[in-house]
Amino acid sequence: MPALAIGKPLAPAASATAPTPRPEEVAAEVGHALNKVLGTYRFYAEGHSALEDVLQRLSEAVRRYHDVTSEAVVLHVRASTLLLGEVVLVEATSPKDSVTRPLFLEGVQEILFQPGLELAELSAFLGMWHRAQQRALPAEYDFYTWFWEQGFEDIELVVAEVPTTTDAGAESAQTEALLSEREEQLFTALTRRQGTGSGQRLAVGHDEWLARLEAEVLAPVHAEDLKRTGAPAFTGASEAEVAELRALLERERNPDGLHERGLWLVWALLAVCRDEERPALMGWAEELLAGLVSAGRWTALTHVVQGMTRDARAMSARAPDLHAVTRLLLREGIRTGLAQTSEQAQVLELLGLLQRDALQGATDLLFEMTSSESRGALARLLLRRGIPLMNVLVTRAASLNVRDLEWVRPLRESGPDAQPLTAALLGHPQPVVRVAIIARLEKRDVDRHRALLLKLLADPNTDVRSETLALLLRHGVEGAVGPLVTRLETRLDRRERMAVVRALADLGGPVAATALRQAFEREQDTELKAHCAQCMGILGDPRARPLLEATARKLFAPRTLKLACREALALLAPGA
Amino acid sequence: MDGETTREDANRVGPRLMALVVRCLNAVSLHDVDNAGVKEALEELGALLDTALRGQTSVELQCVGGIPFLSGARMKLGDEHLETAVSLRRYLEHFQAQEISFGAGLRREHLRTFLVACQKHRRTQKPQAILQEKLGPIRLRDVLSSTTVLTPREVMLRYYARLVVLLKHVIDTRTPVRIERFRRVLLRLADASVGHESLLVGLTRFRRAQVDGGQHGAAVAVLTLLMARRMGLSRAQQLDLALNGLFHDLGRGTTPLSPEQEFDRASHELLARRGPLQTGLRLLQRPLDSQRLERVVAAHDCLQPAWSGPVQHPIGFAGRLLAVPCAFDLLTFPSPPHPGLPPDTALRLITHRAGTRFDPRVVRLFTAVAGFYPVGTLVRLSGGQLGVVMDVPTDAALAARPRVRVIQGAGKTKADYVVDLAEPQQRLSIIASLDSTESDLNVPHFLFS
Repeated sequence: MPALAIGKPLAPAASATAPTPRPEEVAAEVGHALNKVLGTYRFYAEGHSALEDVLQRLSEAVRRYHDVTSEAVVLHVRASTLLLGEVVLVEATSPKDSVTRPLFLEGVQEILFQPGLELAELSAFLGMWHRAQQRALPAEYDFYTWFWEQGFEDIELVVAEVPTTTDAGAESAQTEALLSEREEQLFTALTRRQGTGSGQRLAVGHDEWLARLEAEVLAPVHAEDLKRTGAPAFTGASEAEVAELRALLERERNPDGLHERGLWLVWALLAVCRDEERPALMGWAEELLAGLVSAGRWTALTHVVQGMTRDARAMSARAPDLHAVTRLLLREGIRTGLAQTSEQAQVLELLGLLQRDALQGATDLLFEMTSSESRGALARLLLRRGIPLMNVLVTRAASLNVRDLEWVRPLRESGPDAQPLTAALLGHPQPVVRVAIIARLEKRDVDRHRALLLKLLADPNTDVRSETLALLLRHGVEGAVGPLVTRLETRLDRRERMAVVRALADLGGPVAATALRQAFEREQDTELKAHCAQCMGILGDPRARPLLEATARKLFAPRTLKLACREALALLAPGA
Repeated sequence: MDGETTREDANRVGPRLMALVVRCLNAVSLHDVDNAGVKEALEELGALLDTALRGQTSVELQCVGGIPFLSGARMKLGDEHLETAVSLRRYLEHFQAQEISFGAGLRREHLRTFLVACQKHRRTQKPQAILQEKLGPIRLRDVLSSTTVLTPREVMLRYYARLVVLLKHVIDTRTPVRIERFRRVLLRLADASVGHESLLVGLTRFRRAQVDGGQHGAAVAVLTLLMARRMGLSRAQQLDLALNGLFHDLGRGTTPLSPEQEFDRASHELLARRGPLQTGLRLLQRPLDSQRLERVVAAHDCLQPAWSGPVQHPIGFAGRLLAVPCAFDLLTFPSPPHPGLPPDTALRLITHRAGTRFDPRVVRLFTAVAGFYPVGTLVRLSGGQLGVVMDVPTDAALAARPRVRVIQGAGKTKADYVVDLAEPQQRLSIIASLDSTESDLNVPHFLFS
């Protein structure tokens, strides 16, 4: 290397003396950069800065190659190697490991990078190559088709015709051979000058012929249509019109409407299907409905259901189809979607469109809806449409909560038939619901469900017991005395015991009086004993007088007790 | 060697050559080259090659994707050759070769050297090193040396034939539809037809001997492709629309109504309406694939709005686009026994129904693509000549005056020349279009010859 002359600027001297690289050198540089890119793809996602970096370097190497050779970069694709001219860029030990494999199998023989190739195009192509290697190309595409559809400007492929033989096995090879032979035969037949004798078609009557044509294309064909009237006023499609059509098509490619259109398709096909084809159609319909529900396309769903109902009204033969499709809406998967959406108003509007038969399944939805308001609205809807709810509510009363009691109320009060519902609610597993329903009971309910209420006096939950006691007292149910007496014999806390004693006093009767006397005698707690004494006074039991007097006279009895006894005695004989 | 001879050779010599090469390779994989069995096979191969190489510079035995070719021409194989073809593929793939070329001046020693080389490289780590061996006039190559050069017209015809055959196979055998395969054939067809659009229309005019779902689907696909191209859609969209057309009626051709059966309008109509159902059953599987669903929806929309339906539903544009070429094809090639309408009559009928059954904008687009006298229409000229319409006039005002290839002179004399009816001084004009079945001529032949 010559020594640098002092005082001269470095850069111009270097550029002036730099030798032009040989084509092999720039080819090797392209190879190196390409290897780097393909390797980097294995570790970094597209768009990563490391990948961008190596792509940039490859792009520069390709540009340099163009500058040096003024020719396109022609990469020759072999089973296990990639060549640029004579230079081997990529070499794999076996074809199976080769990066060229996906391209080679599709018959790609050469890849041409034309001068002027932009980085964006290059990286898109290499991304595609990487995806082909990972077998991650979009469905329905192979590498070459996808490449072609991209319409790259500066990248070209030279592709040989390769028969598709992805299916291994003798049978597929046989089929391929058969198809190839047929293709050859058809090719020969097509290019023949004379026809194949199909001119001898049967003559049919003119009317029948027209009718056949009509049936074929589903359009009316009139004899006058076929009359020759010279060249018609024919105008080609204007550019504006073509642009309009293009825009129309673009708009339609919006995937949002596909489910709706699919549903219309299934609806139309149901009219012409055979029994054995019906399950497949129903399967599609279910999937499409589920898609619409999960995407919350309520307007579309409403339109379709309205349209189907109109059709079914116009043609009674379609009623079973309507029933079958709309029933799907209330199938498990879709029902969950309906129940969980926040747009319950739309769901109810949609359900309101369904026919009564289809709504039979909506009772399950009633219990899956999260909000009580929606449940109430749905219940009202179902009742309005004459769907019997009572049995379901009775059976699944356990699924109702406190807030549901509001909308259940009119049902409960609808008549004697509703008794089982109240009974079921009184047996609700949640004490809070039992309390709430007890609080809502009226006189007639108390009469109807007396036995159940009396049982509730021994309910494990304190609130339920006290609420029941209050209710029974409110309505003066004397039958409660017996259970209350029994309750007194069990262990109760002080407050409850006092309440029971007071209730017995309020309810009255000889049994209650006896029970109170016994309780008074038995009780050790002064306060409770005093309460018993007061209650005996309230009850007005004359047989309690000796007991009370004896206690009131006792010298060492607590003062509060004696005071209570005196008060009770005063109540027993106010005149004395 | 012209194309016809190559094809004959491929069918006559090819299987024998393939069998002998495989026999030799089998023999040397078991025995020494000097074994009597190997010698005998080698001698037979030599003798065959001597005959085959007479007057030839080389004979190439090729295997691409498992399919054997002889000098670029595909061999016609029977069931009995299947095993041999599989063996050949196995040997060549192992060496990463696609072709064995036997050049002129071949002697037995060369064949022996070739077999020794095969024996030597077969069990090495890099068997492909055999490609670098000098084997005299015998060469193993990893790319094909000879490729049959086809004209664009032949390419189009070939791919069209492939499209028809593949579709018909799928319809008849009810095998799973491999869309990527059809997409690739359509791509080739689309690629080959750039600049030859009118020929592409001509492709759809080939006569059909029977109800042929393959031909109908392919014709609609091709016409739709051209309409999409005229609309200036992207390549991907063009292919998607063409695929819609291709699969719009997979039920056609499997109709259970025989031509002899008494005509019943209702059953015929029902059959037509069941078309999309058949298509759906063939294409759709759960979970639904959106692309395929779109195709089936378009196939269904293609039949709408039916005038007899009680309620009209909104229909997609893709379906409306398909409806016109589909109806045009069905009117011109209806199922037997009735003859079809001449193309211009069919177009007139469709034009009359524009606005009710068909979208008028699509009808105009279709006529702009296919022409008023669609390419391939057999016409009678005012001078008494018979001709075939060759192209679509670009000027809409001259729509009825296309270029016509005259195939029969005024006095039923033989003729072959082209007249441009649009030329100002041209006095000839079209007076009638004819049903090609009447004349027993395969009209597109004249377009492609």
